[in-house]
Amino acid sequence: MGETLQIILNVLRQAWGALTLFIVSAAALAMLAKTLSTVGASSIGARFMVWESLATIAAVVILVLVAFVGIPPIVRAVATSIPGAPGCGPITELGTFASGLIAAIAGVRMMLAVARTIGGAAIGGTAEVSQALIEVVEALFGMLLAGVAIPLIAMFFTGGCTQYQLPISGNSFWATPTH
Amino acid sequence: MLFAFATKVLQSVMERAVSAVFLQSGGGGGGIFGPILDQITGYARDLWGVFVGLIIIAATLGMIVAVLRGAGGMLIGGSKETTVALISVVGIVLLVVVAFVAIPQLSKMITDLQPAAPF
Repeated sequence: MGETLQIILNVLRQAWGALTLFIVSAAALAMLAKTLSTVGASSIGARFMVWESLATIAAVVILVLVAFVGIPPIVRAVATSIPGAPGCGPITELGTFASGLIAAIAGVRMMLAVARTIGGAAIGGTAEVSQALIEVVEALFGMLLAGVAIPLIAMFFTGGCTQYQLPISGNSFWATPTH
Repeated sequence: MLFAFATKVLQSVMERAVSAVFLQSGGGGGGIFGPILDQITGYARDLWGVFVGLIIIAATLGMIVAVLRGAGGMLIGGSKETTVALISVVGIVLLVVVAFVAIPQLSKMITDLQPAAPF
């Protein structure tokens, strides 16, 4: 299971690299396109358009900085924030597998959201940075489900993992080891 | 005189801008996404050249317009109009030079900041 996870993670790492390169290309082209807009506006004496173009160039640079400096620590924090899955055997392995996979996919989706945002900013559309943060919450929720809740439910219904038992009262969200 | 000088400056800056950017690197090292990256980089390189050429054309036309305005101002004795036209020419040249020097540097900075996958 671990080797399979590593293979899939490798593919996602390559996707991450491709997305970062795409962001670099898109940002550079966006800045150059806005420079063209600035020069055109300056040629006809439209000062407002000049300031608008300069502001867009600054926005693109800030977005790239957010993507390259801000997103990796968030993904790292999300990936390490889920406790080990309860239970035993294949259920636990599947939970760990799913958690790792969800964290990696969330990282790639966050980078994709920023790439879309930079593309939108380049052509004068609206920025969607909030989408990247929504991806984080979705990933956390999915990881909680896959890494903790589903193994617990599976353990309860299949009756496996005799060294664990669900408590009768108290915190029903977590299994208590009996030994 | 000023116009000819400005065009030469723009030409040399354009040559530097086209040849000194991140886009010279191919998309190697992209693993299974390598061929796609190569295509994206190729398109980006072509677009970069198109944009640089368009900027040069827009700047040249802008300077011609400014020179025309300045000449017209001189013809009717409008010193302010001539001054504004001269400032426009200098402003356009400065804008293009700053953009062509700054954007490659910004692109290099962004390329250096590229993070490794955090998972």
